Amino acid sequence: MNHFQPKSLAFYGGAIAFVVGLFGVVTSYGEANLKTAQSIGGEYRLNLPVSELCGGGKPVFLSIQQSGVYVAAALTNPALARSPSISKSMTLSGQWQNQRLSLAGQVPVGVLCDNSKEATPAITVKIEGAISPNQPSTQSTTLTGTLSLDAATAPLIAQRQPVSQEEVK
Amino acid sequence: MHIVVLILIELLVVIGLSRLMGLGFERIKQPLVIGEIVAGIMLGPSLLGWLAPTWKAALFPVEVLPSLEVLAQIGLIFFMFLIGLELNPKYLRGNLKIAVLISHVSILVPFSLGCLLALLLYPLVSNGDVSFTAFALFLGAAMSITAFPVLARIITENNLQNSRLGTLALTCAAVDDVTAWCVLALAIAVTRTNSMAGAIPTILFSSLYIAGMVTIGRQFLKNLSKYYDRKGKLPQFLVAIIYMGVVASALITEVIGIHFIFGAFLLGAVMPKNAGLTRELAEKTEDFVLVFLLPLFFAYSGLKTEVGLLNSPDKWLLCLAVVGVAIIGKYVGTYIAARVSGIDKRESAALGWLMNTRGLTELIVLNIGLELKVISPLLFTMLVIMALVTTFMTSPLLEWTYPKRLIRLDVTDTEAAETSPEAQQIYRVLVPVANPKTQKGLINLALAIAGTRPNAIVHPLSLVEIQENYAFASMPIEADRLVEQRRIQIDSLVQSIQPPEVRARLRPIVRVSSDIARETSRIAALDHTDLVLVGWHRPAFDQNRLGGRVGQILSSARADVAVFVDRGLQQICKILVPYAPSLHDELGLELALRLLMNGEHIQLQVLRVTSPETPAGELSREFTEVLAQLAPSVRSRIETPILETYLDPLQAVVDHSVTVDLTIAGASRAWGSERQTLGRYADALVTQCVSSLLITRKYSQVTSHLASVLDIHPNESQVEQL
Repeated sequence: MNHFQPKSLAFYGGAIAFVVGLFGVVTSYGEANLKTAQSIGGEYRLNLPVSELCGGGKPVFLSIQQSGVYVAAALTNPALARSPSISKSMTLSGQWQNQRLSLAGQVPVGVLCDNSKEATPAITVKIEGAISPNQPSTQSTTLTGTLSLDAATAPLIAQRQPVSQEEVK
Repeated sequence: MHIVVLILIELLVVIGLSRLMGLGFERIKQPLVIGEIVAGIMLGPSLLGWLAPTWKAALFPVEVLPSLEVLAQIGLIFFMFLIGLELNPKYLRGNLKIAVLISHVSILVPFSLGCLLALLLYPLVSNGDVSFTAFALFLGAAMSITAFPVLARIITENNLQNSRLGTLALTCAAVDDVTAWCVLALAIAVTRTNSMAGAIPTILFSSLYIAGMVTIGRQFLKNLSKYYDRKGKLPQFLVAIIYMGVVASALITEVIGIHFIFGAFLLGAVMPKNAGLTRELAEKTEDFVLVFLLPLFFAYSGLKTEVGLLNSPDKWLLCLAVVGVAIIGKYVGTYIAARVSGIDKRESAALGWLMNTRGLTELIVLNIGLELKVISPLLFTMLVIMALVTTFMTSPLLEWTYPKRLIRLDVTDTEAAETSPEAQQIYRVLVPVANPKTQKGLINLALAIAGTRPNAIVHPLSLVEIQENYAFASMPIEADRLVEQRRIQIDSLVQSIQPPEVRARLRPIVRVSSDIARETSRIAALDHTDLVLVGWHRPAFDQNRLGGRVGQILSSARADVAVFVDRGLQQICKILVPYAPSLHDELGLELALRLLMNGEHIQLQVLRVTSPETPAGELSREFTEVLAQLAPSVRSRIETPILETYLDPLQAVVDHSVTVDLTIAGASRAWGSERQTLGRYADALVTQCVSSLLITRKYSQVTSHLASVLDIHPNESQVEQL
């Protein structure tokens, strides 16, 4: 046990000082220069003129799960879900960069089109839009943009819902 | 459905799948924990949610998740207590100076690389509420983890616990473990206060609490230990006090602002390492925690792991960067420090891979990170994949850099000398001994086959089975104790063998194993064993003649095997070999001749039975050639009668067995075609033969069991036969 030899102490001291120094430099740089994407995760209620797309016009929710600039989302229809709290299947994915949100993926056709007679079980959905700056106090975050179902496109406005229950996916 | 009913169904599914996957991964020589983690992931959105979302939603509705979380967290608290309990200062017995250096460098390098990686990952996968400092600290901590519990089991399974590599790895991992928990505690404190300065009070209170536990807490626990010694057992009252202590300690650390797992770990770590108390407490606690509660933690964690989030090449590239930095950081740090400390390249590399084991500890850290929202769901998934990859790769890479045959040489120097070409000429009989108290007859038979010449060795093989991958018994110190206990039993068996001069030819091998049959076959191959001699036991639960390990050894051993059915064999005077031309009968004949040459008073009868349906087979040319080489004094003790009978030939052999001490018969030709039987003929002999019986199964056509007693080289005899 000769850890207290000057050579060992110098080595450990030097190594720890180097790592602490590196950590200090990296964190100072990171805190000063690196910015993360604004938080947009949560549940949005979509006000869609769905009738223009596939008939319907029922309330649809967009659940966004955010990991930085990468976003996964699910479109759900409470009328279809057996339980309102059933965890959602994130079938849409995309990015959230420069205040622009883009999402694409497949959604069960019945989620959006209640009088659908189409045989296809899923429909391709694209969402493009911007989200207004987050104001947690007023909870008035709004998504505005367009929603495309296959070839048809419609304007989209969605309001973030107050967090009622923490869901663990 | 009522929530309790749903939770009970979940429990059934989770425990069942977790055990099933654990067994599956054990089959491919992976730690049980990998199987359990994978089972958790399978139940989550990554597989069940992807294949059958409705089923997943029905099985794990959101309403049930809080209850599942509570059970999982209770499991985690007691698991952390067990980890602390298992952390024994005895593990710091490796070269501490080198170990401290290696473990510090093996933390500092991946931690630094983790901080640098944070520069890339923070803007991409982190959400706005997290400070960069907390993010970098967490990522650095996640990169520097070494899972002591998993590593300790890998080391035990590889019988490395007494090797230089094993003790060094254990010491490094123990130091790493404690250091990593400290870094994690710091990361949590910083995250909760969102700044280094804000974390100072938490750090101060934590230090005070640790100091209190190490002094006052330890003193109190020492009194409990003394009480245990006085009682000689662990009463429920004492268990209740200790469990209350675990929960109270967990609560205090949660209130202080680190995390409840630290309190539980700390209490386990400061428990006096009274061998009896520790073992009894661990055994009482672990079954329920490891079998019931821990799989729930894996399932809960799996529900949050979404491999589907990695749905584009850029995300996979980031994942690759995470895995790469983790592996390279740990490996390079360990390797360089080990090389600087004077450890050779191979051992340094093996140490580098061992220290990469992250397993369950990493999963605990990641869940805390996700719970505190320091890491996002995507990064969580990447880090879970990293934990799986780094744990999965340990065993194969260890085998690649440090093959088991080298580990064996490292363990015992005396055996090293036996790999020389001269040593390989030695005739070796391996005798698996399940119960040293009842297998004296088996050892005596092995000695009779080996003979009195110095170039024959009998290895009584006693394997201490470690069935439970995570059990306290599979920790190196406990495994050592069990090995020592078994060694004493084997030594006492050896000392009971008469005459005393033959004991020198008995070289016991005692070690731990998680798969007795596979390990026996492996040792037989490594040791260049000529014959594996196993004792037959009447199956306890079924009618299969080869149910249990005898059948497994027969199927897997890449050496000739003989199964001994003892009917009270005292001494061998007369041997009967019912002969039919077959490979297995030839082996029986060779062993009989060996016994004949080693025992001056032994008579051998090679019986050929003819019936109207089956004419007598000719004795093989090899046998007649061997006969010609035998001394007249040996040849004169051999009879080769032909018996004509209208009875069933089997019945004739059974009738003949009345007059002899030992019958040696080959396994039927079709022995392997039906599961768990020796073939119809040999099976019938096992039940009907009056004398003791030796059933032989030939594997190697090269092995000559007579070369060492006839003074001919096996290759020469092969050439002659050709």
